[in-house]
This record gives sequence, C-alpha cells and structure tokens, in this order.
Amino acid sequence: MKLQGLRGVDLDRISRANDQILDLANKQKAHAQNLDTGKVQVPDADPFQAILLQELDRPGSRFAGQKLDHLRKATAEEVKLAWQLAQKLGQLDGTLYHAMQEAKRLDKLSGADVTASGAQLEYHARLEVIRRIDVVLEGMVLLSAVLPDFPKDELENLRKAFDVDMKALTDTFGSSVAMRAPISAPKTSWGDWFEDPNPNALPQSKALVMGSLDTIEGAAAAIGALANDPALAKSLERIADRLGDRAGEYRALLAAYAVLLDEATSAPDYAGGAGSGDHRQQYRSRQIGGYASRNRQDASRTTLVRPLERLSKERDPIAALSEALVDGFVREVGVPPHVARDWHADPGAVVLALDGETFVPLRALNERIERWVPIGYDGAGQTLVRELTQAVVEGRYFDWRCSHGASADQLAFLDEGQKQKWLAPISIEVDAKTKGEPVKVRTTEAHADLGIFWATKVGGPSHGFDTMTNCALSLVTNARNTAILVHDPRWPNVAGRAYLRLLALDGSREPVLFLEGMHLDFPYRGHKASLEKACILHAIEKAKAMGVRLSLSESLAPLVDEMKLEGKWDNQRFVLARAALIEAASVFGQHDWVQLGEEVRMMKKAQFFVGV
Amino acid sequence: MGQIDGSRIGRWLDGEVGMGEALGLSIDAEALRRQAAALYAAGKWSECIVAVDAATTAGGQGPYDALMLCRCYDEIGEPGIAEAWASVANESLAAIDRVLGGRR
Repeated sequence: MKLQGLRGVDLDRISRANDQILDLANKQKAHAQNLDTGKVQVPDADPFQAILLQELDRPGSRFAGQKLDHLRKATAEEVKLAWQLAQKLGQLDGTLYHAMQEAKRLDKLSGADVTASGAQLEYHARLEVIRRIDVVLEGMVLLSAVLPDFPKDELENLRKAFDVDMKALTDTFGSSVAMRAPISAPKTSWGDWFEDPNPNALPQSKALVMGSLDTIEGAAAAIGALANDPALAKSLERIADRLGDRAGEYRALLAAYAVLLDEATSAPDYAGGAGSGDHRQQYRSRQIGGYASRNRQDASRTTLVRPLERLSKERDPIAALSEALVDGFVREVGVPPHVARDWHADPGAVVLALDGETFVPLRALNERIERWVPIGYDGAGQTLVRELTQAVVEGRYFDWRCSHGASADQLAFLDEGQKQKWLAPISIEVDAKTKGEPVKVRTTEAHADLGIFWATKVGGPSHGFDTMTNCALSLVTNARNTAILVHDPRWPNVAGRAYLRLLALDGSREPVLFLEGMHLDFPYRGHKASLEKACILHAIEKAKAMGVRLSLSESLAPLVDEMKLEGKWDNQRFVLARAALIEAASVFGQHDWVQLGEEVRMMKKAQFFVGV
Repeated sequence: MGQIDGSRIGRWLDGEVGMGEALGLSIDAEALRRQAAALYAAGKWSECIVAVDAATTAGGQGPYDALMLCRCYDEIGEPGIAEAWASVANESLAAIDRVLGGRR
C-alpha cells in the first residue's frame, strides 16, 4: 500500500509559529497591564524582591545597571508564575520542533510502498507526531494569552492527515499494528509463576474492630486500656445504668469512640511528616507512623479522653458522647474546628466512617493535600478535601461524589438509565487458578462502600492517599472513575485493583468504558492472570448492562489473546470532562494533572475495543 | 526515611517535585528559602549558601537562588564560582523579565 502523506498541510506555517514561540521567549513586549496601571503593588515584605533591587542598584554588583523593568515591579506571585511559564515555553518549543522534523521526514517518504513488516513502525511514527502535537495544543491553551495567532488549525490538519494514513494502515494490515508492543513478541501470560496466598505471612492486625465491641463492658474496657485508666472504664460502664432503653445507642457510640481513640493513638502524624506504608495490613498492625508520630498520638489521647472523664456528670450522656465523637473525629482527621463549625455532622455517619476505616485516609487527604497540589492552585486541594470530609461526616459522601458540578459533567455522556447502571455496583465470581483447593475470586466496585478510600493502597503505589495524595483524589472525587476490586477468600484485604473509567470518544462523544491494567496487593502472591480475567469479565458485564462499548488497556493484551476476545486495536482520542480538581491516569501519558476544563487526550498505548 | 517511592523519584527526575518530597522527607523548601533570605540580609554568606542549597535540594530551583549564591560566593572570596552563578542568574532573571513583559 502507499501512504497519502501531508497533502494540503502547510508545514512552513507551523514552523514559522514554532519560531514565534522561540522569539517570544527572547523578546520583550509591552509591560503587563496590571503593573502599568498600578493595580498590583509590590509588597514591601517580600525579602527576595529586596535582594533583587539591592543587587540591581548596589555599586560593584555583578548585576548593577541591569534594567529588568518588569521584574523590578512584579509581585512574588507573578515572578513565580513567570518562572514556570519561562520553563514551559522552552519545553513547547522543543516538542513542536521535534514533531515538525519528524513530520517533514515522514512526508518525504509518503508514496513509498509499505509492507506488512514496516506497517507498525509507520503507524507509530505518525502516532508519535500526533502525540507531540497534542502536547503543544494543550500547552497553547495555557499560553494563548501570549500567542493569540498560533495556527492551531494547521496542527489539527496535520493530525487529520496522519489519521487518514493510520486508518489505511490498520485497514490494510489489521488493527494489531496499533499496538505499541512488538506484534511478534510472545504473548506470555502473567500466570507463569504464582503461589497460593498465605495470610499468615502478613503482620497481625492490632486494630480495634467495631464488630468486636458488642457490649458496653467491652467498649468501656477497650477505652480504659487505651487511656491507661481502668477507673474510667468503670465510670463509663456505670453510665449505662441510668440510660434504660437507650443503652443500645450508648453502646454503639461508645464502641465508635473506642475505635476513634484506637485510630488516633496509633495513626501516622501526616501533618508532622509521617511516611506511608505499602499495604493495608501494615496500617492495621500499627506499623506506620513510627516514633515521629508519638507526640501527636499522646496529645490525641489526652484530648479525646477529656470529654469521657466528664461524661458521668453530663445530664444527657448520649448527646454529650455524640458531640464528642463528631468533634473528635473531625479534629483528629485534620479539619480545624472553626472550619467545621457550620457542618451538620451526623454521629451515625461518623460511626459508619470509623467502621469503614476512613480515619487514616481522611487524615492523609486533609493533612497532605496542600503539599501535593501543583503550585498556582494553593488552597484548591484543601477546599475539595474539606468538602469531601464534610460529605463523609454528614453521611452523604456517595451522593456528593456523583453530583457535584464536575461529576455531573463527567456523567453527562450517559442517558439516565446508563447513569444509574454506571453508579450501581455489580459483582461477579470467577474461578481462580490455585495449587490447592479450588477458589472463586469475587469482584466488587470501589464506590460500593467506604472501602473506596483504601482502594488506592492496593498495589500501585503512586495513587495511595499518603503517597501522591493528589492522585488519590482522582478516584475519590470523580464519578467517572471507579476501580474493580478483586477479593480472594484466602486474603484479608483486596487482592487486586484495576481502574475502570467512563470516557467518551472525541467527535461522536460516544460513552465508552476503559479498563486499565491491574495492580496486585503488594504482598499477595496469588495467580494474577485469574484476577485480571475477573476484572475483564466484570467490565464486560458492566458495559453490557450500560449498553456501551468497552476498551481495554494494552497491558491486558495477553488476556485478550488467552480469552480469545473479539474486537480490534485502536488509538482513539478520548474526551475527558473536567475533573473535580485532579485527574491521575498515566495511561494518558501524564501521571497526574490539574484538570479544570474538558480535554481531549490520546493514550500512551493502544486500546482493545471489545466487540460486546 | 521510609522506603523509596519510585513514582516520586520519577517526578523528581522530571523536575516536578523537589528531592525532599521525592524522598518523603518533611522539609519545607519555602521556609528554608525564607531563612536563606534572612541570612543574606544579615550578611551570613556561608550559612546562606547552605540554606539555598538545602532549599534547592528539597524543593527545586527558585527564581532568585542563583542571584543570592552569586553574591554569597563573591563575599566569601570565591569569584570563580560567583561568576558561574552570575551567568545562571542573568539567564534566569532575563527569562522571567521577558515573560512578565509578555503577559497581558
């Protein structure tokens, strides 16, 4: 076959624009309007500005006499943004330059015969140019204020011309040319090595579990032990004598308070810089936090015990305990009391939150998010996490997660029936390969319960709530994302996790599901391919129920072969409605990013569209 | 220090985060940089170099780091190193000034 090449695309026009970017980085223009009009004043207190001015004016300084008029008047915040922008311009210039060089080379080769052995190479050479163009177009959105005449349309023409060639290649040689992995490589399964999982190899849990505190005596004794105060336990027990038929309510609150005390006196002090663990059992066995968290844990013990010491003197001990539980939980997960003053926290919701082990994830989100949200978005992460925390303690987290503005936009690709199907978790069972007794693994969906907060700690590890905290927001704040969780009855924690995302195709805006590759819980040694198969079958069921197409990550290619799935490989452009703040989906090339508007992105690797 | 996190190291290599964040250290680079400015103002040049180096290691390069280091090395009698930093500072400050000038 012969490729069409870049007929009708004005490459010179793009190259001239490329020069413009370079010029822009080397040319002074009129001063920023806000500085000229005096709208922005240089803060006297900025020590760096003082150093700059001193060096520019000091006799004998190596910088004496330099004009730098704009810099002299800029605020610290403006300097920070300009510093980032200056670096960005250089990157875009390089990206576009390489894309143009490659496009010109490919254009010269058009018309030559393409054989089956060269088809994949030709396809990916063009795809690479398209990816670079996408990077430039994305960057131009940011820089449109400084380069309004950039020929975006010409870059899009170039992309369309290459699309035609790429389609011709897949039509002629089959869709597997779209795959990034060498087609001739052996399709080995992950299942080559495994052993049956051994939960005894995990550290023992030391966490108090709500279900085990089924009597007032038990809950009071647990509190007494945690407070190192047996008398307190007795006092809490005696309160029940005057509560009559409300004793059951008291027991539930007391059990929750015991769990709160247990969590707060063993949790990592993220505000103090505590590190993170690899898997959930390390947290349950209280291995995370270390000595550095000890002071905070001691302080938490003192603060949380105080209202219990007064409880016997309260006229309404249940109301007082409810209030102490809510206030204690909110404060201990890192929300300052004045922020939560107008929240309508529900003690029942806090009980559920503690039962769902959300304490550590919520503390991590609240206390780490500001360190991870990119510069320029200060405060946005904290605001979002506080909204989320409020929704949890008010018992409306799942409603909030799928109804706030960004999530509503994400679900707008679906009709009402499809939306309900997307939000309704399903579950399937699949036989797993074992070396012993037969076992069925079971799938669930992360947003089925509060376990969603721990889903990011299954393998990874980058999306973990206390690793790259911003990435955890991708799952817990965006309704378009869920994760298929695989449970092995021999394993105490989730054994496998694979993101399932709701996207739409560019152009048609047809909703499609995309299943990413699966992560195993780090210490789990079971048969990975069985779990991956369960994820794929789950996703197929889900897509069928919703009446949408399903696409699979190229990392699942061995399973596509093994399961003899019908369908075709492709490299589509996907529409991503705006995120609540952060999207983290490295399948799109970037590990994570602030996404406040709708975007169209391609993936790093090909997708297999299953013929459901 | 806990275990090394590969993804954070990757972000450090990409220049997205400082080494302190990549290694999971609780170092406030901005606080270190403010400390550097205070040391600079007090004429404690050697200490200022240490603070700027620490801030750069923890949080990546800041726009005025090279400017400060240039003066510090001049003051402690290392004109060769100061000259090298002057060249970096000139480039950085000119780039920022150009971008500031181009913003509308």
